[in-house]
Amino acid sequence: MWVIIKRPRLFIVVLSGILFIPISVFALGLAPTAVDLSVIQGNQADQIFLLGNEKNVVKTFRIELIGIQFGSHADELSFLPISDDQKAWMTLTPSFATLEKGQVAEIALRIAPYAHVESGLYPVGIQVVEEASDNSGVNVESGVVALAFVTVGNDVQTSGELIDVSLSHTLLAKPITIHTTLRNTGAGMLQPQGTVQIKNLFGHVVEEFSLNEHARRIPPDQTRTFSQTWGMEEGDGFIKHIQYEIRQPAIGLFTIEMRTHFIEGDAEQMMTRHVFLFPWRFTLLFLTVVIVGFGVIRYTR
Amino acid sequence: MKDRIRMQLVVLVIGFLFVGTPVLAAMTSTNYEIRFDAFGVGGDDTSNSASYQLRDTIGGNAIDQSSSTTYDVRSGYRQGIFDRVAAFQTFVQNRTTQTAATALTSNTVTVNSIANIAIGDMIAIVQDQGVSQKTAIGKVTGISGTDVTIDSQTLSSGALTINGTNDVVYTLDGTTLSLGSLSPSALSTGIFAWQADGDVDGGFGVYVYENHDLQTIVGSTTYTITDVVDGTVSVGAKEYGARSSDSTLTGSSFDTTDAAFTTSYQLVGSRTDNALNARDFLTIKAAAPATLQDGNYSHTLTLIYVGDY
Repeated sequence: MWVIIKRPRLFIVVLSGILFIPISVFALGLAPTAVDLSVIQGNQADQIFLLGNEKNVVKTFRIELIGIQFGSHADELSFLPISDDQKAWMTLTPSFATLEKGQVAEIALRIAPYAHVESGLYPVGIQVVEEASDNSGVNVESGVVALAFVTVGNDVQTSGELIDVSLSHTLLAKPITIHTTLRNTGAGMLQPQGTVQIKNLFGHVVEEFSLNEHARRIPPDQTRTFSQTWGMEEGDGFIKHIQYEIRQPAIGLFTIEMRTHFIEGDAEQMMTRHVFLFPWRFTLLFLTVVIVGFGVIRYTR
Repeated sequence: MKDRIRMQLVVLVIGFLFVGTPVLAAMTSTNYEIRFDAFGVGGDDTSNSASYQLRDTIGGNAIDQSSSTTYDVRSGYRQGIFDRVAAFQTFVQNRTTQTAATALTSNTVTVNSIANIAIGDMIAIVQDQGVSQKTAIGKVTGISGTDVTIDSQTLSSGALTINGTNDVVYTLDGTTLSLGSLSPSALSTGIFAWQADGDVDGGFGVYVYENHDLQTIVGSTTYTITDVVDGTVSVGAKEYGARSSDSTLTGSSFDTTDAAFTTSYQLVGSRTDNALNARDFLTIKAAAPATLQDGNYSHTLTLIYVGDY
């Protein structure tokens, strides 16, 4: 039996987090909000979710499994009832939970696909709804959905493509935002990894970013753009920019090198872009001061 | 004399070269979060305000990290594990707490009575209640006389002008949203708000669905108030719908029109980055003709938070 309970320390930290959230503020807490589960047909995988009642009164929660469909754009989701077939090998317990104020309960998701279950990605939602009383008028229920991306089988194709690296601008001054667009060309969920390195004219790395610091995912057939900013935004205004150019001087040709890989051991994909930086605002001011200075000198002669 | 002037110019130029503001040790913005921090002394787990949360730690203990292809352990207290936690709260207009509003200056509204308002309450300030209604919601942070101050304004459209004519304030602590008695000569409205706090980079979506149309059952007959289809809930028509205060929705018409609830999940709020105290609301609208069947019309709306992945 293959039991996956990922990151037990995570549960402890999340449990602590939920317990320390001010009770007067939150009504319902659920963690984690997104997980990946992999299981081979004939085996099973388990995942625990923590549900916290942050209200000052006893509340009853309805807990159910729902199906998820990805749209054509990043973050576009639709929800639908889970199929009877999936219900047979995906179970969620309990289906109701009554919690005292501040109490935390465990919700257990078990994935146990039969041998005939087709390999593939099965995204599902763990929906927890705080039940409302049935009165006249508009009754209001609130809930949270945690997402579970279930991969069944070890033959699900996973692949991705580095589509494009674009820059907010390629000339003159920082900050520069680097947009990297990736596409999931496989059938499984992708969590791409990689680095963005900025090298000066001599090849020395002057800045390095993680491409996907927060481990965001790309569903099949979707593209996602990751952005990093080289240099800090410090507000608008000529003087602000001049101060910025002085504090973070950068001049010359720089190479931005994006390296990414989509699965462990996969070959890296790379793209490079170039940017020429020149602190024109500071230079303009400097020349103005020099010219005015010489003018004053000539005048005083 | 000339040497002195030259020297002054050189000093001036050098001064410009070194102009700069000091790098602030404290991070501030309108909305920020320090996920994990370790102070040499002091610190606790509960620091927060309307605009930030801070999980900090006194020093640190046995912090280490080990990993292989099958595990990743970040040991010691406290490590920066990315714990995606979502918390979600809804607020429903309480019609019984209505009080007239006579003025609004910055985030302070002057009301007739503060009898039902307490610090910490979420309230709705409504300008021109009804067809031309504009609304702001916020959390009460102070009460002085009949002046009620809220932490910020989440608006349905442009800024409010409160002048005491058909302007009211409600608390949002109801359990069921009452639309009052529907009239053929007026539009009934109600506010249904939410606050999402997601430690989820990439933001979140808030979806709504209904169990069935707004309906009443008389004998064996079910009477419904028809879902709005033309984008506007009009006085005297038999129509029901809502509009979101979030004007940036993708793939949903709740931000630009009065839209109908369905049994499918529909997007009514979203953020594209990590958000604390992210608030929005629906203005629910119902209209009825004189021929509407008498009865208590009801249904259940379910509002769901889904974090980005």
